[in-house]
Amino acid sequence: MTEKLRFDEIELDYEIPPQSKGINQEKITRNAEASLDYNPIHIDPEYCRKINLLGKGTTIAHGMMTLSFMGKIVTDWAYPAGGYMKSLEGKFTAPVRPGEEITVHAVVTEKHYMAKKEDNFVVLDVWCENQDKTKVSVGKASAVIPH
Amino acid sequence: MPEEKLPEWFEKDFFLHDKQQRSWDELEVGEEYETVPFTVTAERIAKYVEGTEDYNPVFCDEEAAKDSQFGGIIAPPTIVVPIVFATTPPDIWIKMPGAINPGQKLEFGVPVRPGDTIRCKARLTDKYIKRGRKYAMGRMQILNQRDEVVCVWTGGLILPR
Repeated sequence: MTEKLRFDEIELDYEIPPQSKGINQEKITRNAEASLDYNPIHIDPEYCRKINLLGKGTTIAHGMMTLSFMGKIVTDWAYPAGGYMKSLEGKFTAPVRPGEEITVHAVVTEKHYMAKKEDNFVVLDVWCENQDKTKVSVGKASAVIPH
Repeated sequence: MPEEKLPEWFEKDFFLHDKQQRSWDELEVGEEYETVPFTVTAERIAKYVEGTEDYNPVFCDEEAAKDSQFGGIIAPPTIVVPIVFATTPPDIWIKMPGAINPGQKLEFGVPVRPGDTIRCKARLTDKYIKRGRKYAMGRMQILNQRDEVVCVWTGGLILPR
């Protein structure tokens, strides 16, 4: 059995291995079904063309789809350690469009030593870039690493 | 296992209720609303896992989830977002067609489990103009059927009018 990650082992500036995913209209529409958010800016290309959405007139992915990707890199890392995500925040700095690929990064920036060891947590800078290395979201997360 | 029941006014057509929407000018800081309680089924969790492509075992593998620190299947924490969205009345500003999401913050409490009933108490906390764009900001307290805090969500939208 793999040993659980221990809080003491975590170094500041440690970067969790990045994750990437391609975005297309099918995924955006599936996310609309999953998230019950049928805002036309995500699923109606004609509407987006008509209003010239954000200057390019294409649909864009849900900001929350990007945010959930930012959460995924943290929970993929924290859960096997017996931990959990305490918080997640993100600002969406550039739209994500069909045909793009986004990569999520997370770097440990703070270690918080609490009164009870099982409450120890880290803070991470989390961000997503597209294939042109443009940041599409920036944010922070915190995760408890209890061992 | 309880069944999922979307509110009777739930509508995929964003434009249907557009005329009921108030403009940014008409919104009042401090105004509050509550969502309709929503039961989160295992199927809804599975759909969200698929939509977000987040196949962590604790979200979708009963055996693995049982052996985990959670003791059973939990929903991805960000599932609170679609729940709140689906159960917010259609004339509330977060449903305005064309609204753009500039950023959000979620602070998590207890996880959401299959069969939980989730509800939200929301308040408009700020509205401002920045670089020519109109922002409306809110704070939402999301609770389960035991009145445990599932999430505190702060954030807002850039409104088109």
